[in-house]
Amino acid sequence: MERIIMNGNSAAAYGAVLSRVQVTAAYPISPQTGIVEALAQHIASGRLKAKFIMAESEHSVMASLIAASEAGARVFTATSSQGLALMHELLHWAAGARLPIVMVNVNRAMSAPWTMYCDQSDIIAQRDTGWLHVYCEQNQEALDAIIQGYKVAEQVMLPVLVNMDGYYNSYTTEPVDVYDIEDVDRYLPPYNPPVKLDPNEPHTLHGGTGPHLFMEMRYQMWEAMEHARAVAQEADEEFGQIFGHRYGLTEAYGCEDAELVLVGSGSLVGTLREVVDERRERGERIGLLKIRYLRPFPTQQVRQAVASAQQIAVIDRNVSVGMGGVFWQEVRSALYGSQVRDRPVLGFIAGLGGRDVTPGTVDQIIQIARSNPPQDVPIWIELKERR
Amino acid sequence: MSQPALTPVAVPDQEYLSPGMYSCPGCMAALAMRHVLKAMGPNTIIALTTGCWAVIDGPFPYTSVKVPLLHGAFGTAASMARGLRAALDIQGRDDVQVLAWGGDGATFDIGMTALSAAAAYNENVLYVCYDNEAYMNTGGQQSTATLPGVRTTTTTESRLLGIRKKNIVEIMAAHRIPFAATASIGYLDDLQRKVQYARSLKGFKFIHIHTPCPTGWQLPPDEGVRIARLAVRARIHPLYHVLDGQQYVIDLNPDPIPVRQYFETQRRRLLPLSEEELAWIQQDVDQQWQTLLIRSQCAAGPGGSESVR
Amino acid sequence: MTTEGEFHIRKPPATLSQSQQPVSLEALDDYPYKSVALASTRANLTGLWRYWRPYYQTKRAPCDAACPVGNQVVDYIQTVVEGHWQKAANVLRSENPLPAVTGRVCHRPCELSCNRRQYDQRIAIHDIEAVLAEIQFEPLRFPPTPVPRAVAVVGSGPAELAFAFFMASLHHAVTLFETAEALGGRLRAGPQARHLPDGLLDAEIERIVGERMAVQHSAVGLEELKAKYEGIFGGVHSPEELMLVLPGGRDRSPDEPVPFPGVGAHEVAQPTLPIRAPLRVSEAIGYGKWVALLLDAYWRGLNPADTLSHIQVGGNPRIVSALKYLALLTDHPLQRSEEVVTYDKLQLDMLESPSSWDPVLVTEAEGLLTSQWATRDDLQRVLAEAHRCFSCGRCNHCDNCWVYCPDAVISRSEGRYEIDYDYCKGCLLCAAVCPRRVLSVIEEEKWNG
Repeated sequence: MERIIMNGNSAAAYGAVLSRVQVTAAYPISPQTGIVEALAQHIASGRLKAKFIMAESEHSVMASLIAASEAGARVFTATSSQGLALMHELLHWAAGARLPIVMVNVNRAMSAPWTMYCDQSDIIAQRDTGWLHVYCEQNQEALDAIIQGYKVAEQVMLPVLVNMDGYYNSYTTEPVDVYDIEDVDRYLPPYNPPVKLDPNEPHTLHGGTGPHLFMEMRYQMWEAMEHARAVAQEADEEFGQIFGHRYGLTEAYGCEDAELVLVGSGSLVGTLREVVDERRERGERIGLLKIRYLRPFPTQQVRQAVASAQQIAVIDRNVSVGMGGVFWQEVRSALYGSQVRDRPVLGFIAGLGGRDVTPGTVDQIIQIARSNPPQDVPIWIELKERR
Repeated sequence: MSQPALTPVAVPDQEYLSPGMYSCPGCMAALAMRHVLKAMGPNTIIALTTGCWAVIDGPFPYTSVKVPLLHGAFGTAASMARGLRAALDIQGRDDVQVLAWGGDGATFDIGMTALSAAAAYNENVLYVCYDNEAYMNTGGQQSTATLPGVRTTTTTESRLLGIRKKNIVEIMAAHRIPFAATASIGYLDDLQRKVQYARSLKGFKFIHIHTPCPTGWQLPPDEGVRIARLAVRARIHPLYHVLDGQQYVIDLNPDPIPVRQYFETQRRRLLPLSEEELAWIQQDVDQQWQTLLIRSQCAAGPGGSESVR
Repeated sequence: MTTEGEFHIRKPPATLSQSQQPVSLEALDDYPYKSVALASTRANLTGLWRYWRPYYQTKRAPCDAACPVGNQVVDYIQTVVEGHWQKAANVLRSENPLPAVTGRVCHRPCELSCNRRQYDQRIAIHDIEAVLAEIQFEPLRFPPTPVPRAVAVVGSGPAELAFAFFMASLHHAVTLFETAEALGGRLRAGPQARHLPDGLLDAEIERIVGERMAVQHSAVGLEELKAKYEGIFGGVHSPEELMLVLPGGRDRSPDEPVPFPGVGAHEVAQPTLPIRAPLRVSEAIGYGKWVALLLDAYWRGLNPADTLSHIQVGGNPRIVSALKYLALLTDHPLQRSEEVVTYDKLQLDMLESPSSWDPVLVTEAEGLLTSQWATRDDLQRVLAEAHRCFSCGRCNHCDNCWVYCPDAVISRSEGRYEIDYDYCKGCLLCAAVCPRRVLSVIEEEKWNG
């Protein structure tokens, strides 16, 4: 194992190399481009034995990967924002086709107005495509999530989206453990799908399906996604035993006694963590709930983490216009019907379009939370006031 | 007529389609697949994009195709073919051939960029476009393969002059791929030869098969072959191939007929054409033919007209 | 509701079901984990879509329909193309006892009506016939007649020889009366004689007469004939001398009408079969054959009118086929229609280019030659000519129907095509691409075959 200082894009590329991906297809889009560039270098240098398809659009990237996966290859790609959106129909296809594709999405706000900075509006729009959604806090986590992603995907036969934040992860360097590939091989066996396209055993895949048959196909996806919770947990556990990094589906940090639990995802969890540490040192009973898996949603873990909290504040780096932050909605619906259903769940919108979420931002959130604000509408943080 | 026309002499016996296909009676797209697969043989995987063939194959859990077939999203045949090729190559299965299969809408329109990329990267696949000159699976909407003078369900303009059918083989030839060719469902020996020849080449191969659609063109179901042959004779769909984007070879040149005579066989799908419009279409066809003649003469040289035989 | 049970990935079977039964996906456990086809489309019986049914049916070529002898011209030409010389000679000899003669002296209505004449040049049918006449053959064998009859034939011109030949073939006791020294009648003396080399006619007549009939070179009176024979035939070429067809026999009043068409019933009468005198050679042969077959049918107790409708060629009641008569007697109806495939019924655009032929065929045929009247050169020329034949109405296995079937429901094996009606959608493309109109079409509701 080697510890190397690298940015999130490089870490993701290492994740793919260590997973011995066989086919990758790529199309440039910032801030993801570094991943596929790095991967191209790994392939060119012979470090990775894989085919690199330079596509002419993200739509074609996913189409190529779907086909390559159907033909029995382990496949990988990365994208962002508009590129992810262009893939949209094929994201449904990949999941419906039950293909264990792993893709990194480097979160970037959706235009217009034209932008290339971070928020989760790109990935949130793909929430219901049937992929597993993993949100990474640091660069190491991105590398690890890719390897774990294949481990999980190839058991439940569903694709995995690994998210990391544009700029905050993609262009920020951190020390990252790059494991020995033999160790990864022990963790992640070669891909051997139950069905693949092979003239020796001809199969026709995905013919038109009528109303009398379709629901059961969807139900099987549902079943696989439900099962994915346990598989992901197990995969994370085994990963921790071998490589020393464990994440869980969620991470509850100081929640046991917390009066206020801050809920977040992605790189801003690092900021929350710092503020929570600082506040707890001052004796404030503030906890942190990091949501790592948006799909499958870790309902039980969320309920458990906030069991003792008086108040829950969800910080969303996204907004579903007309409703609010999506993590806020998810947490609220997870608590509804549980014993903690009457706890106030506050929704904060912060950091859209790459605006920094600083410790000061978090301070403001805590302050507002304590002021008994309205619970039914999202609270926009650090928004310029009207004149 | 100087010589009786040719019909196939060596069509492989093996069938790769099962009966019970969900094609309309007299479907030329089904016939096209039948013959392309005969020429390709069993060691083939099909990347199939949305279109009539997505239906013809049969609904889940049925299939009429005996080689591996992947249904995919609209316009993705070329991209899927690239993915299959890469996956097969990395697994050491470069013996397996990849056949990308799309209709005119999937090829001329929505799949154009993907097709162009696959051609430009000279992927080792064969792309076959079956062309019924409209979005037939959705009931006959206009595509850029629609012939001027043809009425579709979405034809809104009465203006005809200046609107042409996209010349897909020229576009593909401009990528300088090893093999770009037209073919016709009316001349299956020519198709058989072309597919078998394309198989033997490494790199990107493109064959554009004219497959008149009896249902969509409002013809009796037994008319497809006759109409296809007339289209070749009218030089609406001349039969030729282009090697490396350079060498043009005219494969068949049966006795010509005027476009008017071709159009008379399919009045039900046509707009009322003025003499001026008909003359313009004829002039356009003549010009295209002249260009083709000049190109084929320029290219006559080693590997010329005999190369496909 | 959710379904209880442990999660697992349900792998589909490796091979497709080929059953006509639909796949049952009744329970969730029946489903594969992804949409993988489990069966071929054989469960989709597309034959139910069909309104029109195509079926194979041999038709009549115009050459056949024009031949007064009743020759199966396309049959023997295509049998040559198929490389079966002896079989072709059998077909020829089955219908025509004098092919070496007609190959040389016929007025060739077959060639006049040949469809290829309108396309480029007619087929030289007479040439093929004359050469094929020199190939070894096996004579047609009819089933035995219940009561063999004594038959007199007066004269030995082409009509009488043909009548005598078929009567003898039909197991009747034939006596041929000819006052001249050599048999042949006008074939020896008439204007045609110069086209028939010495010895050729002898050989041909010897093949007819052989051991199978008695020949008397003495004159005979009508009363004597009527006393001794149940049937008398003769004088066709010289009606003023003797015209007689008497199918009544000894027990029968000569004036009693004989219930078969065309042939009159009184003692000395010109048959009412509308024949134009003077008959040309091939017309005379055809006439002799016509009378022989229908007389035999009458004696066998068959209705002559029905018989004629069964054995006539191309819908022409003047032309009959011995092969069709054999089929009728052996209760083995031929799958053919007498619809004549005229030029406008051909799909000229779908005609194949002439195929090349194997020289081995010529060598094989050389070994089957029985005389000096045909040589290797003749065989070569004839084989090339045979390959030009359009085979109107007769399947020559050009494969068009098989090749162009969009649904792959036509199978071909051992020179036969078969349509799988479970799946044929009735698009009729097979009929449209058949160059020679071998495929017929029937409306499905009316089909009862």
